[in-house]
Amino acid sequence: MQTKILLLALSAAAFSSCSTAYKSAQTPDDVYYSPVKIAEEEQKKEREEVKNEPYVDYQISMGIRDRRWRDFRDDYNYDNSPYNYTCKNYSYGYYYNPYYYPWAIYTGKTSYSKPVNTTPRMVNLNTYNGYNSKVAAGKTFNNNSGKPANNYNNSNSRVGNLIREVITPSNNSSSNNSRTYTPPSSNNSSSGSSSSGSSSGSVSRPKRGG
Amino acid sequence: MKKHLLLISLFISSITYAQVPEDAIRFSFYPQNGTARNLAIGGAMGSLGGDLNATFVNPAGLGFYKTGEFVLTPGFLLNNNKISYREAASQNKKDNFALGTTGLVLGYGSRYKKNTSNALSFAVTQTANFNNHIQYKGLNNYSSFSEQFAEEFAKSGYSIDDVLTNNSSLPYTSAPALYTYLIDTVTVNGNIQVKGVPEYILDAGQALQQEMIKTTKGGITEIAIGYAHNKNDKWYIGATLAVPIINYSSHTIFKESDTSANTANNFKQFEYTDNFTTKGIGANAKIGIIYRPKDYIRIGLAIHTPSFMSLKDTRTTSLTTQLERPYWNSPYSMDTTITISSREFTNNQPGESRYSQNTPFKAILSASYVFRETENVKKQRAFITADIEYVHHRGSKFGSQNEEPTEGEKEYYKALTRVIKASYKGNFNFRVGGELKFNVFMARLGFAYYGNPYKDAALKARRMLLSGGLGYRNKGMFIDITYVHAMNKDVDFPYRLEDRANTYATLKQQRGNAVATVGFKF
Repeated sequence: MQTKILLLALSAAAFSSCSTAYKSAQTPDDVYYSPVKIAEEEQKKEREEVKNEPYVDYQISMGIRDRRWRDFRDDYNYDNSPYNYTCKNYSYGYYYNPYYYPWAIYTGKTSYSKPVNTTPRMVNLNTYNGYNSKVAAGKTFNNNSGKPANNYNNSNSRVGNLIREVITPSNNSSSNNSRTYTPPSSNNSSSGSSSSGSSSGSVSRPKRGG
Repeated sequence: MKKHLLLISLFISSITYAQVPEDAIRFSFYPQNGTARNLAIGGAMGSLGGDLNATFVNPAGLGFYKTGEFVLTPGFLLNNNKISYREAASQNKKDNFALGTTGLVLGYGSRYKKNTSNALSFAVTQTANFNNHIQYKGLNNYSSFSEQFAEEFAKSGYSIDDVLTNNSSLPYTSAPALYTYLIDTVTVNGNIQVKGVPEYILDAGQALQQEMIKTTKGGITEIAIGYAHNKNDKWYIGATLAVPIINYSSHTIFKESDTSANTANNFKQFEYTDNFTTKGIGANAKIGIIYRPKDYIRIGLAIHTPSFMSLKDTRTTSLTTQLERPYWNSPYSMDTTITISSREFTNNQPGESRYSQNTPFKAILSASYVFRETENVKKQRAFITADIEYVHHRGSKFGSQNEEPTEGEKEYYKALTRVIKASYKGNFNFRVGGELKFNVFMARLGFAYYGNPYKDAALKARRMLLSGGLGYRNKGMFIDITYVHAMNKDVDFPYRLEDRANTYATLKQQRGNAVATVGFKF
């Protein structure tokens, strides 16, 4: 956060130094009225400035003062040398050296070898109103299916637990036909059993009573 | 192959799963951001113009610029949440830094026609700020969080062995719940059913203590380039191309515990942690027009296209379940604790899901009255402005972007779009504000109301904002300060069940937003 604030403060300081045009005159408010700033005049002014600018070859003048400037366009510079196989132009993770390997070598990072699980975040869409009105009406044990407000239970009234039992269509309160376990017929996993011993890649549950 | 067939059969039997519908509303139901001046007048900018924030509302408003301007808008958000869950009240706070509209406008008059000009803007703003902390708890004698896992697993058609693999199809929910025995199969009246262990407490007529702790971070930052043309100071047309950058993260903990003194009734407690991030990038366009039939009056119309976003979710969950006897039939201890991470079921790395999401389109109709549109700043007096905005919340769409999406995956993204249409509605938002100007000083007031996006009238949600601010403009620069007080209402479902009535928390959020804009004319 401190970096952001510092960056904003520096930007403000930089622009405040540029804002000289309206320091003496009225500051325009573009919501009410924006005074014309003709582009042609601006460009003409710029052209005049360029015309009056004396021609200076900075490379020559700097080369007189400092020898390093003379090598600025040197084609035999080491970095641009054809004998330099690790030349800067080929430094994007690849390089080529015919004396060692006859193919390009990739030096980038290796990625995960295992496949990434791409299962989306999931929710049972039948729990949303409007998707399946039959279910929405049934779960409230209310015939007025046109009243979605009745699909909610937001208080711990004494009848709350009673409703929980009533809506479950069974003599046993813990029975719920909509949650019947129906695995594929080839598989015979059962209550409380550990899934250990299954095919490779399985994750075994800890055994009960351990 | 077997897994794919199972998934397809899952959808043929009309039991569908998908990215959650709340993702749609998160990226469309939020108040408008802006410069301090614009926020002080309720955010109304559909016809007023002359403010950098026109780039994000009605780009035609940039056409009022014939000068240059640089604007910086830092801000600070103060969240204060009051939450009611099953008649129990909670309160919590979260403060954070925010960024209002910041950028540059370059306005130029035409060299050929006196009353014609063009303007170009480069701007960035945080269109949505997700930083918040929500925490609530309450007693529940009706349903358990674990039942959603039981329901999901029972309807999936998978066996326990199918789910407990290191590349599971239900790695974040049913797999950890099965592994820790939070849910399991039981035989009732000769039928094998799936049951959550906390249901034994509910069946005995006792209540569960539930607690939700949710911390969200990030936002949507939009970078935009806007252009506007002013023809004869009568017609202003403009367009903006914007790139929203999405960065959202959520850390959720849900706890459930037995409230009875009985230490041998199967279940003691569980703690489920869900960490996920959504990152991505998108594109959208905004076009607008402003007509100035005569001096002082401005009428505006703007259309915002949906944001076409490419997103990636990264997710890890973990579950710790503490079980009691007689369920945990150990002769050595009264209870046992099992912990597992979803990484065990996603090849020991976080799961990743790539998808596309389109946000809904918006349309804005607006009018303004400006007293004294004169060059002499001392004679400029005031303005009032108002926007009506329509947001088509039910128009959000999702699609898979995984490299090899299964048929089932494609099918449930279509189903998700249908659910969004059925659950949400288009709503109208209103923004109104005004300014009084005293030479170089200005005072402003504003109001904004964002209507309920939920189709179900029982779910109350809205955003209501009151704002006020002061401004000073002189010597080539300007400073505006604004305070926006938001009174928001919303609902939060900790979990949803298909075969029982659902429970939700009602949220009342008071959000303060202190904003300052510093600008320079050139």
